[in-house]
Amino acid sequence: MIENEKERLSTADITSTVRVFFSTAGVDRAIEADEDYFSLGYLNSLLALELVTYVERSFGITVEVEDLDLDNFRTIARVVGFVRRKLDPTSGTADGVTERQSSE
Amino acid sequence: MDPDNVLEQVLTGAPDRDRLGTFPREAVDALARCGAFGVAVPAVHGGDDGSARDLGALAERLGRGCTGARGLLTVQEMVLAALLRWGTAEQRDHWIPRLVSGELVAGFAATEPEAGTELGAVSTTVERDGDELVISGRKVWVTFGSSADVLLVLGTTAAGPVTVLVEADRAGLERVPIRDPLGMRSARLADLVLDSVRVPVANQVAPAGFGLSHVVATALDHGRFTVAWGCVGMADACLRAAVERVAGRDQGGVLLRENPVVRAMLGRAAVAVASARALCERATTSRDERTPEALVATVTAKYAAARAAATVSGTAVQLLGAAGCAGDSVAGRFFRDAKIMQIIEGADEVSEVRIGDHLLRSSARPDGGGAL
Ligand SMILES: Cc1cc2nc3c(=O)[nH]c(=O)nc-3n(C[C@H](O)[C@H](O)[C@H](O)COP(=O)(O)OP(=O)(O)OC[C@H]3O[C@@H](n4cnc5c(N)ncnc54)[C@H](O)[C@@H]3O)c2cc1C
Repeated sequence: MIENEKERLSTADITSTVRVFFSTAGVDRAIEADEDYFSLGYLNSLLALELVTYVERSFGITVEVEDLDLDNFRTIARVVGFVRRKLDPTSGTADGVTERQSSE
Repeated sequence: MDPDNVLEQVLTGAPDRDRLGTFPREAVDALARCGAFGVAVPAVHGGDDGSARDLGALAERLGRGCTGARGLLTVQEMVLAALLRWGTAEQRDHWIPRLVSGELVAGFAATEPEAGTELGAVSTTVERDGDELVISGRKVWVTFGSSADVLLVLGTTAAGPVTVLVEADRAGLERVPIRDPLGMRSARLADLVLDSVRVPVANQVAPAGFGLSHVVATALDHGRFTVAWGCVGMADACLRAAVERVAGRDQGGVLLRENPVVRAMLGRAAVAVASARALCERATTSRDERTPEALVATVTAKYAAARAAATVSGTAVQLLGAAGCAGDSVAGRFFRDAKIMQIIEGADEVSEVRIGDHLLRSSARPDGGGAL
């Protein structure tokens, strides 16, 4: 079931799911896909962990200690790129692609 | 002996441990033999693979008898949770079986004289020197800090907050036991002085920058959970003591149980206990289902349970009268312990703010948000 879901998910699907989290993250305006919300101070400590659980639960992935790299979490686009790589490790550096698509 | 009896026997020693401010190694070993430290740890690491429900039940049982034992479970579980979640495979293999077996007792050292609620303000420094990390600073109020074998220390680096495991026998680490605290007297509380303590870089848990937001946050979330259930145990034990006293108190034919004011006090206390239990149950379900709301559900449960423990232990002391003020009174002991539960792992007011934050965030959700 999860396997099928993984295959079906497009970047747009992932982006909209990730956006739901940020729309509730105590943010008074929409965060742009490429905005560094960490440095904007939008993610307090309870929320950082909530984001991990949210992403794990929404996409059926596990965030490991090896994934704790700010570059995976700094912007919405990067979270989306991270999720894509987790779902399909063979997708390689899909980063640039996701970043372009989601900031359209 | 059957683990159940061993556990009961350990709990029987609570009044003495509280009076003497001790927690003998034999009691730690006995808890370990009962499997107390591996309840929610996966079997591959030597644990029992249990659920949040199993862990909650144990915390309630320990809380009902001995705040020191519950505190030991809490800190051991906090460090285990941090390692299970954010340790590398090597770190898990090395540390977790030893913590589960009780060979090692862990402590959690985050608080500093100038950084309690605001842990982002910690000033303990962690600097790299070759294959080692050099740690200097002061930590205060470490539960089991006097006897722990290894401490998870929160420090700071140029790249942000970091957590490091520091073995207690490393040179430069001094422990200063805290004498006569208000409560949690058997929990071997200590302040720590770290003066250029060196540990291998392999002792660092998670990259710098994630020590507070991820490692400490995970540990505190787990700590809140066992504190919450421990408080339910404490509150329930106090309620029972109060009911027993009220039911039997007879002063020349004047029966305490016939007084409606006294009955109302018991009624309020019973509702406080039941509400706390219900919120703890809800947090437990949420944790077992791994929902993102589990974090705030746990904050809510801990807040409600700590308040229940504080109010119900107060009611129990009141209804016991002088007997509640005696040195051997369970209600009196829990009255002292319960106040502390409203301060640690997020003080009451801090929890209230977090719950309020969560409400406002939920209301901003496209779907209007879930329930609290
Ligand atoms: C018995 C005991 C055991 C402990 N064990 C450990 C341990 O094992 N490891 C560890 O690291 N620490 C431990 N602590 C320390 C504990 O976590 C801190 O005491 C707690 O975090 C509060 O910090 P503080 O004491 O510096 O109080 P402060 O942060 O100075 O707060 C004092 C009070 O101010 C109010 N307040 C503070 N901030 C806010 C806010 N943002 N909003 C509203 N009100 C606020 C609250 O009423 C709070 O109680 C222990 C403490 C005790 C008493």
